[in-house]
Amino acid sequence: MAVSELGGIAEIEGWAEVRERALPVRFARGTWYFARKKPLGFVCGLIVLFFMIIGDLVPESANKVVKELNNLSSLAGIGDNPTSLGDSPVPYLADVLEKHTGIIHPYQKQDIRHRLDKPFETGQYVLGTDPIGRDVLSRLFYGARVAVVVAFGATFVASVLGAGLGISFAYYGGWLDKYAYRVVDVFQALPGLVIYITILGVFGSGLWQLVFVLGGLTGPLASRVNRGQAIQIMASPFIEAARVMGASDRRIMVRYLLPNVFPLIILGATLGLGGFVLAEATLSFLGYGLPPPFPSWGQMLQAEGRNNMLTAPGLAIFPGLAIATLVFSFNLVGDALRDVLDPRLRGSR
Amino acid sequence: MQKYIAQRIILMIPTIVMISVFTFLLLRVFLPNSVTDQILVLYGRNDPELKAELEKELGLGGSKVVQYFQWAGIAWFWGDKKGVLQGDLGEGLQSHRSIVGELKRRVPVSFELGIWGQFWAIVTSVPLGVWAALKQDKWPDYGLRSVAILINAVPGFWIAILIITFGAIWFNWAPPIHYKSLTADPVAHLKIMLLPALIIGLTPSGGFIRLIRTQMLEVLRQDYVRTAHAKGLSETTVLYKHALRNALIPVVTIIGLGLPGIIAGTVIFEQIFVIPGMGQYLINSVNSLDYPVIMGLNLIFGLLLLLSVLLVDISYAFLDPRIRFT
Repeated sequence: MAVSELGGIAEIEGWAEVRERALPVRFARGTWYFARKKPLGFVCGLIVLFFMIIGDLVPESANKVVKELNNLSSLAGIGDNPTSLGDSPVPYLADVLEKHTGIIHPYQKQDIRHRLDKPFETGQYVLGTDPIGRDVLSRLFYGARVAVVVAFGATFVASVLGAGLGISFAYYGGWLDKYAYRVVDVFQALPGLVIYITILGVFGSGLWQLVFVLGGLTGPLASRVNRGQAIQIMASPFIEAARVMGASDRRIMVRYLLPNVFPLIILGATLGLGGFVLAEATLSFLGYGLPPPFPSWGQMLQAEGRNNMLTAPGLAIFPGLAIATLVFSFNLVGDALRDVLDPRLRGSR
Repeated sequence: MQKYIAQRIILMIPTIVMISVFTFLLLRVFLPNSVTDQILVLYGRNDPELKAELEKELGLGGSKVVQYFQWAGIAWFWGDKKGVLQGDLGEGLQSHRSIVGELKRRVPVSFELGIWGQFWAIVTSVPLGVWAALKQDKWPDYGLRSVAILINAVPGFWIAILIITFGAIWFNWAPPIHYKSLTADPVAHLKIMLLPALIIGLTPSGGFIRLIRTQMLEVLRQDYVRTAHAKGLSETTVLYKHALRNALIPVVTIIGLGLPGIIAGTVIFEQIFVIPGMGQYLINSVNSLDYPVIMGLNLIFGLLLLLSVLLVDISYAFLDPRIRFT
């Protein structure tokens, strides 16, 4: 690497060139570097991506937006034919695949003539059907959506909360810091599963409740690490310099502390994803997940798997396999990212 | 040391109070409906008069603050009924059974199950972790590390269901469903506990193996281990007296901090294996919004966690004589 001295600033050759490249190019470069360095982690990342695609999130939200727009335009009286786009203008992957392959079906479709079909027996239902004739494969696909949304959603909530609390406690310090961590101690003293069950069981459960309860209770715990790092950075001279230059509290926290804590936040997030999938599965298994018509893997294990295990063991095997695969992939991607992002932490877990 | 322990126990009090206030707020203030609504639904009636009467009977009417003081036992000093401070958690609103009596029966069951789970986890993972460290970068190491990562990803309750399913299909075997206590029938009791305990121990053991391996590798590189070898001590003495003891310190932390989680985690296995512990009680009471029971259980779980954190800190002094408490 050639380094040329330019007016006292060491500049790495080619750096400007790298900076000028478009974001997609840099992203592709980064991905390629990751894939070469950590092939296993990369493959697991692809598996996670696969679960996200079969979870089929895009049509859901796109259709919701279109529906809202239709409602708005019909309310406002603009557009002569507001329903011209139909109810689901963006086709669901499951619908398209059913049309073209005949092996994937909408998750709620009941085929009364095919109850408890054995896996791999008929070409129509690849992984068999449950006691009321719903296709197991499609329900697994829908379960992937629930698992992925809860994992990413809860991680997002926990990260934002953890970063916000950690940085602001570290910055303001004093009695706030001291007493706030008494409260965090209380959060830590509440056994996770028990408090999840209490809140979800008492207030009713759904997708967003799961996301906010799991993320909201993990956030304060995650904030400890960020706080430690932020306190360390607070001691460095550049914070002092910023303050001398008249930077406001908010500016110091957002522009100076946050970027330096950010790698830790990302690491915490990737390492936590698998745990959230497991937590969601456990809660659904106990009956505190999504309400019944919507399939989630934990609930499939409980409702269909356990009750029909003698006649159709497949109902108990496949959802579990799906959970294990997704958690395994999340964990390995997290480990690989950690190794690439921060070599100091290697092997610390 | 005694002063330190006393100090820590006094520091626990505000935490415990906050846990109980938090659960009380959750159940009695933020929650719109209550156990009375559930009871009235059973009778298919919804008249406010009956509801008020029921609330009065169950002690749910009137000021919430007063109710909290009654529950906590502070009101006892003014001649009210006994509360937590007097060692009385009240009675279940649905069953009208004494909560302390129920807990006396159930806490030992869950506790025993959790301890057994941790026991199996430690018994299997310590030797395996040490072995993996000694065979670093050879096939036992790779094999064990892969197994550990796999175990981390597999939900324990799925393993339980698979064992029950295939036990029934292939061996015509099913786990016993009639619970027997340790004193009534020790053999049957241990038979019931064995399988859930093994599965409970499986989940943490993956993490333990990896942790013990990295810790051992760290310690084996230290100078004092080389010194011990140079003094001519036998391999076993070096490994178990010099290396393992130091490698175990973070492991003890994880084990101690994990214990309440394991005991809370028995909820799901109590459900699968029909074991009458705290988990079953929790789920039943949450479903029927039986608030004194939920508060009592949260209190017990919180207390367990705080005590195990304290035990972890105390055990440092035994593992590492350099650590002194002041």
